[in-house]
Amino acid sequence: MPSIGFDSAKVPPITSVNDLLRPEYNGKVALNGDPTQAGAAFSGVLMVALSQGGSVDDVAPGVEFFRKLRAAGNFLPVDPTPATVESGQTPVVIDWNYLNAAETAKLPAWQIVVPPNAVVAGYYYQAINKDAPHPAAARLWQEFLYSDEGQNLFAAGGVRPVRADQMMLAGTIDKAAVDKIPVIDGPVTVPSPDQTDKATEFLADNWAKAIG
Amino acid sequence: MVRRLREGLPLLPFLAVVVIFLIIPTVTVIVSSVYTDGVFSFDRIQALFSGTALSALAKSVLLSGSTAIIGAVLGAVLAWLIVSSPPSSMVRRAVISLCSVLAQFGGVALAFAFLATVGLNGVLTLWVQQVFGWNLAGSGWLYSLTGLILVYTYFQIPLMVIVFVPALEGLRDQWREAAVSLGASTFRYWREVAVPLLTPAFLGSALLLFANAFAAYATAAALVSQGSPILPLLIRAALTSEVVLGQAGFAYALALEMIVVVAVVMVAYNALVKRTARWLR
Repeated sequence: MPSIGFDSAKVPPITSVNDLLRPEYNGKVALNGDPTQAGAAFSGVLMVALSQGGSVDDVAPGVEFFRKLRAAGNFLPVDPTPATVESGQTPVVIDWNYLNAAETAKLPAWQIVVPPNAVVAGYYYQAINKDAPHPAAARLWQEFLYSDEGQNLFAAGGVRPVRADQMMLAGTIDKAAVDKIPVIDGPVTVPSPDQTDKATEFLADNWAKAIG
Repeated sequence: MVRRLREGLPLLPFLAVVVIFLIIPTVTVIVSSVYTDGVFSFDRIQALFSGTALSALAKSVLLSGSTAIIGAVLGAVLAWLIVSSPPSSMVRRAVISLCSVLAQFGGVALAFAFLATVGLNGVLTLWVQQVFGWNLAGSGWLYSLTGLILVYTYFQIPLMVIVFVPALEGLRDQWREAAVSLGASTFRYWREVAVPLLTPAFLGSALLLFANAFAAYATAAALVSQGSPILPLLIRAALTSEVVLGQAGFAYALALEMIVVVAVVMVAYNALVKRTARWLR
């Protein structure tokens, strides 16, 4: 799920999306990629849209928020990487929670917030190329990804595995790893492929205008 | 006939290179922009007239045009200053070597140099902020079109110097002496002899600068990560997006648009040079 990561040694603590508009965050808020290109940024915009009264069918409030963020001079049009986070160039980063969590391991002051009123989950899809020279090998790889072992590796990376619920019932999940993933109470929004298509169409037409 | 063939033989490798690296890619771009996966359609060409694509085109032309003009004028003045010192002078040799290096200094390294200096958290920005309290980076102008113009100019001026110095060296002293001995003032010599002689070379160099900026990708890609404001970045977005799939055809259409723009500029340049160079023949 998308989250807001911030360096608590450099900026005041963030508790909600609206905090980002405050002058303390001038030139400090970065988004991981362009939402018309990167899945992480797309989910980030969707998260912001939900926090601003939008919905998965209406991402316009999210784009409008980033326009305000840009107008306030808070939006940092830099692609955040572990290097920019560690050097302090991007003190606030909107990114997947598991990527932000990976930063905490290197930078202890790096804290992560998942705005409680705007919880979005996104899937990364797997696909097998139908012209693949060894489709059977690709299927074996996918079987591994969805096996208990593969799913626990995802959990160890800070991602909630897609089979987590069943694995908890069966008792095969890596408890230690899952306990580190933020617990979410309340509704989680997961865009369907159709909704994703509509939202990206809107972003393709409006994102560049909003932050240009 | 046989002799002609034999004379043409050494040109074959050149022809092969042109076919492989110029003609095949161009034809691929043209065909793929209207015909993909067995379907013929003008949808992708039509998509070129959407708001995002048109604004990218306008910004690309503005960026390339302005940096070509700024680079050509400043570069020509610098080249003239260099040429007025003797060929053996240390300064001249140093400046020309420096220009040869800087003209190739575009790309990620240059973008990083600017980011590290006057970016939002650049060394100079932070120092000025501390000492004078001014905010050099503003709200991130370096990451917008203004920033791109400044950064592009940085490699356009040296390129102009390299390509324009030979033209200036071609101006013979005897022509100036002849003009002066016929009673021309320095101003008149420049207006009626030097400038008309240099115009085709100047326009040609400016065109080279335009094409250089128009196709430049790495510098912009390193500076701008949001919103794909110019055509090469929009092509990147169409090719590499994780969220909008199946846009490769649109990338072909954009590439075709870029070819068309450069072709239009080439034709305009040819027409101009024909007019200005008519009396040279």
